Amino acid sequence: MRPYLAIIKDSFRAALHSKVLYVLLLLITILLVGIAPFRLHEVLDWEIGYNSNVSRPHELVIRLVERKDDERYPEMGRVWEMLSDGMKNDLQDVYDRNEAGGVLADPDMPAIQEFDPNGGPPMPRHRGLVPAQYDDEGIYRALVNELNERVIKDEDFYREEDWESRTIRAEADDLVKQGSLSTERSRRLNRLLLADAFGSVLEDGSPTSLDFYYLHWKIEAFSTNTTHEQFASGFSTAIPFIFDKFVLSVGLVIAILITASIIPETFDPGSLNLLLSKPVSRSGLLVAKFFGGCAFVALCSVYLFVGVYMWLGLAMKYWDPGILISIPIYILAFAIYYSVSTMVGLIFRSAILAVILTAIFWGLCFGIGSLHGFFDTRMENTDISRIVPLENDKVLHVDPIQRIMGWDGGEQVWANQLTTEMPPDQEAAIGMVLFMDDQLEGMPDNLGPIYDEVSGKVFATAVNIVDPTTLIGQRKCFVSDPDKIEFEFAGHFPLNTVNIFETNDGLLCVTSGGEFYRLNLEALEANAEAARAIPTQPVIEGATNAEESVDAGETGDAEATTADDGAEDEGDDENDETTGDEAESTPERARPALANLFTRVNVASPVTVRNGTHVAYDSVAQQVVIYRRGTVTVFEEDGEGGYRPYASVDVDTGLQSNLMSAQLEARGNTILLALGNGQLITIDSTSMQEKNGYLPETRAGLDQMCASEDGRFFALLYANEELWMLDTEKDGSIEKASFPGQGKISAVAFDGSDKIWIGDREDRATLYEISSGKQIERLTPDPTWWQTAHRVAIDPVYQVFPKPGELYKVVTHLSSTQDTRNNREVDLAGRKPEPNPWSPLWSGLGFMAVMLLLGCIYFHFKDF
Amino acid sequence: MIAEAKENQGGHSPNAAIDVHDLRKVYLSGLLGGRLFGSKFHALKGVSFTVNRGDIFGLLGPNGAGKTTCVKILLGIIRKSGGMATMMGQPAGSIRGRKLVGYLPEHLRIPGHLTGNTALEVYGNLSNVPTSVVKQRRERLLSLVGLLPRANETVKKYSKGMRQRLGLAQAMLHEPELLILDEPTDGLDPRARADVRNVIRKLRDEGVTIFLNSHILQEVEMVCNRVAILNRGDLLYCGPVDQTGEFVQQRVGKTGTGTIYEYHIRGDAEAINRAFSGASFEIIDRDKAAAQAPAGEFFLSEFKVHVNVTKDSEVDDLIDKLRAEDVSLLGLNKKEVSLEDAFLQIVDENASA
Repeated sequence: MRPYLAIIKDSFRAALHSKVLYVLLLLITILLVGIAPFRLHEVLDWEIGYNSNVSRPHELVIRLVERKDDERYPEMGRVWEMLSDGMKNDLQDVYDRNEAGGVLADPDMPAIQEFDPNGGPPMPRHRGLVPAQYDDEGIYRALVNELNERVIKDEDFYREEDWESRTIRAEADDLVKQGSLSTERSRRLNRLLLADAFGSVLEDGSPTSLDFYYLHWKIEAFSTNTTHEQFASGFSTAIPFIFDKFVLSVGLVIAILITASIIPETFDPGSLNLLLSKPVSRSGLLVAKFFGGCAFVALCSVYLFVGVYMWLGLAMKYWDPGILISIPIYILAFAIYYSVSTMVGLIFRSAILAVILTAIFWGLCFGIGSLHGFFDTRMENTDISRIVPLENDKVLHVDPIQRIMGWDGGEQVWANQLTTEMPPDQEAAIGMVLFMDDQLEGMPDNLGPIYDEVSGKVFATAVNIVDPTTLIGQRKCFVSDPDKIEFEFAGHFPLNTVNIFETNDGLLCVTSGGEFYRLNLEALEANAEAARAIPTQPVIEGATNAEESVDAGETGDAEATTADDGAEDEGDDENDETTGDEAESTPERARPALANLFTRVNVASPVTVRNGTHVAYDSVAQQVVIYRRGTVTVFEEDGEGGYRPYASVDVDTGLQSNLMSAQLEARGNTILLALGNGQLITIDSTSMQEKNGYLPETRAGLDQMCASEDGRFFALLYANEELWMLDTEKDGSIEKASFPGQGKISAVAFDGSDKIWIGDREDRATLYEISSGKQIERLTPDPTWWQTAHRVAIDPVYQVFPKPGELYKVVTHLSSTQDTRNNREVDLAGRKPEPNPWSPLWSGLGFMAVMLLLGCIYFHFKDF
Repeated sequence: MIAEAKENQGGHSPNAAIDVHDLRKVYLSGLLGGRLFGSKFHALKGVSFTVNRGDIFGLLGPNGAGKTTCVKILLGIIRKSGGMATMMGQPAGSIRGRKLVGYLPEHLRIPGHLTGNTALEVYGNLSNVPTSVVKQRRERLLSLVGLLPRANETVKKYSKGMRQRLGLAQAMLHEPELLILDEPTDGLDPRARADVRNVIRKLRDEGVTIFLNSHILQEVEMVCNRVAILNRGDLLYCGPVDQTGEFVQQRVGKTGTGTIYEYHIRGDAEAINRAFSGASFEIIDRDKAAAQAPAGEFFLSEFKVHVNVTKDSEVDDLIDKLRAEDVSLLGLNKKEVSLEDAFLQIVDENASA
């Protein structure tokens, strides 16, 4: 070993002798010195952020004005008295003016609960984008400013008598008990008290905030209302990417330029003959020279990364092991390129040629990666996102751009059954977003298709995007005969419908306000007749869409589906008062009036629903199950066509926050609650006792969950394309499902009790018998040329080819795995699946090994 | 050819430091290892010789003779096309064989970042000598080659001769049993050359076998006890260095003459021709005036004439004849054949053949 270590040691000696190294080290030093004074200071958060904590400022005004004199709310009176007179006048003025216009409404006012959707014309109760809000925005901002400056900063704001009737949160209670508080703690207490006083209209915000300083200058623009942990989590993801794309792209070029001459110089006869005369093997000599060549990069990387690691730890209080993991990973990234440089230098003994061919290799890597990404995105657009088995073994699926596709057995293709009614430019925009591998947060998903046995129809929604920037849209109801899939417009779903279910009494809609609506068969027939009279339905053209959206706005049908939609929102129910179809008529167009398609069902003690995954329907027990903030509530039929609470249970999630995302499924006697952190909890719906809790090995977000008809099996499809099954008749354990011939599973759905449809390999759907695992039917469309090209050429080449540009994913994975493994509070739902994070590592190591092997073979047999 | 003149033909001698038998090397050029658009060049055409332990052996030959090819095969830098070669009892090119050999290549290039000390450390480690041992030995070696005062300077500050001496030191560092030196005195001044010669002799006295590859025939003649002469891949001579003249004379003798005497004379050219008629002679020098004289014109001039004589009495007879022709005898020398003479004669003869 001594001779080979001598070569490596000599490489370090050569590197240390190189002036270029010192230039680079100097540059790195300048960088580190430059960032060293940049530091982070975590403080208790007390400031109300207008943009971050106040989503509906007008409701802040309502609370304040309406409760200021109410004896039941002495704390609000206290807030009011601390405001300036000018502000009080402005607020009263805003309130009076807007209340007169009917724009403002307190979400907690009982009037909303008493609203009868069939009792009269609905009053549009907009949230968010209403002109009045913008007109008064200056006042809203001034109010928030006064709350910060006059209320929160006042150390005497808290008076015990004002809060006697109010339950204040534990953190505030602790501060109150402490008595004498520092300025920071006093402000924190006031902030918490305000949050308790205003309730849901003033969001809690983060317990701490982060201030950034450069030397003693505070950088206001960087200050953020996030906790240190949140900052660390985001930073750990960003750091490897930043290093990869900015620092290393430059560093790599320099390193390649500098090291390209090492091998050709070694093959100068005066050097080589002496080396070859020594008692060393040629292969060992080459490999040692290769690794010695990495010494230069190793020295620079160690200095840079250890420097950054120390800076982050000391200045930012963030000791990220991912930074140190970066060192070997980025040396590997260099080594991949250097293996090419070595091979070229070995064969041609020319440093210039080594640089040129290495650059060409870099281009190849980039080109293959980009081509693969492009084809992958195109392939993903044909994925089966959701499978819907119908009667007579028919099957529909929904693709990622929310098209409903039906199987055409004659042509052996999936045919589009219903457009999204998006104009081409919007569809292109969304396609572009998908290509950029992003997600449209808050974009309302289409619901269905779903087969309703009572009406004998298949129902589907189509979201009509009115404004792509705000994603304001509406859900239209389309209906088809199951034997011949031809969807026809039939009316609108109730506003804020979050999910639809097939029940014994017909289609049931659940809204975010916890209201239930049932399909009105007579209205369905009437609307179908009316719709047939409109030649333009279903509408595809953008211009017609715009007209319709105007109609919707006029009749209060527009639905705000911005990010608010996903937030826990007490005020959602204000919009549930209408199905929006009552006044679907304009004399100019002579459109026949559409009847209410759905009829409200009486629900005792409704529970608001955060989103569609928090509600499930148990077709066996005929119960609706809703999960909300750690509580599972079961509604049963009341015998009069309505629903009443059957039981509820507080689930012991063991989490600090009950805002974790969740998915719910219920069938038979089992309720399966899947939390966003991967935690699974089964509850016996009869006794409401928790049966089991699991934390599966897989740490990916849950994509889909469904249950077999009899409730024996539950299928869980994770974002990493793994399918897991829960058999309630066994020991209740969850196991990874294994059906022959499956790969890249993208959708799953039960067909009855013992059959399951699996969508995989983009657009292939296969029906399996669960008990035997036998394949019953497979729907495989003929591949298009680009599918064939992707499968046969691009994907295999990509898998084998090195991916040095993706090595940062390994670092991210290692950092995040540590993060998620140790922290069950991390919600995995928003996390994108990692397409085998080790792939870049293995392919890189494999490529490097092959290049070295070829180099050794060449060197071994070559005469010099 | 001159095969019969070779002292030995190589073989499996257990006492041999280097044993080469029927060694052949063919260089192929062209694509697919010469199979496509290819041509062949025979660098060694069945060479056989033996270097005994303790020898200082010189390998001579003009450019392109195959000397370097032979050395590279011995060291495993290139592969032989045929034949057999062993070094210290090990197959040529084997790692075990190379452990026992120190090598100083021609045009040695030592990386500029190394100092005299660190260079010895690197090359010592490459020969599997621990750094601690290198540190013990390097002072003596650097002192031996005259580099000790500059041991801590980087090699890029060294002159060509200093690098050559450092190369010699590294070749000796692991105390090899065989030293292969390729042009060891190349670039050295006369003083340094003398020092290197002394080092070589000292090593020989210590029992180290030296294999010297050099163009400087005087150097070889001064230090080597045995030489081999290669030309165009053929071995022309292999034997003791002091017998090269004899070898040449023997070869000449076979054509009818014996010892060469040089007559330094002055007289008329025709008279000289008459005096030497019947003898084998060659006028090797004449003064300019005589050379430029018109044909047939009488001109008295000085000549140097080499005459092959088979019996000593013929020397006196020729003196008598010269005197009879009124030619003055200015000097008379018995001519010895130097290595250079022998080399040139052998190579020239091989070239004309």
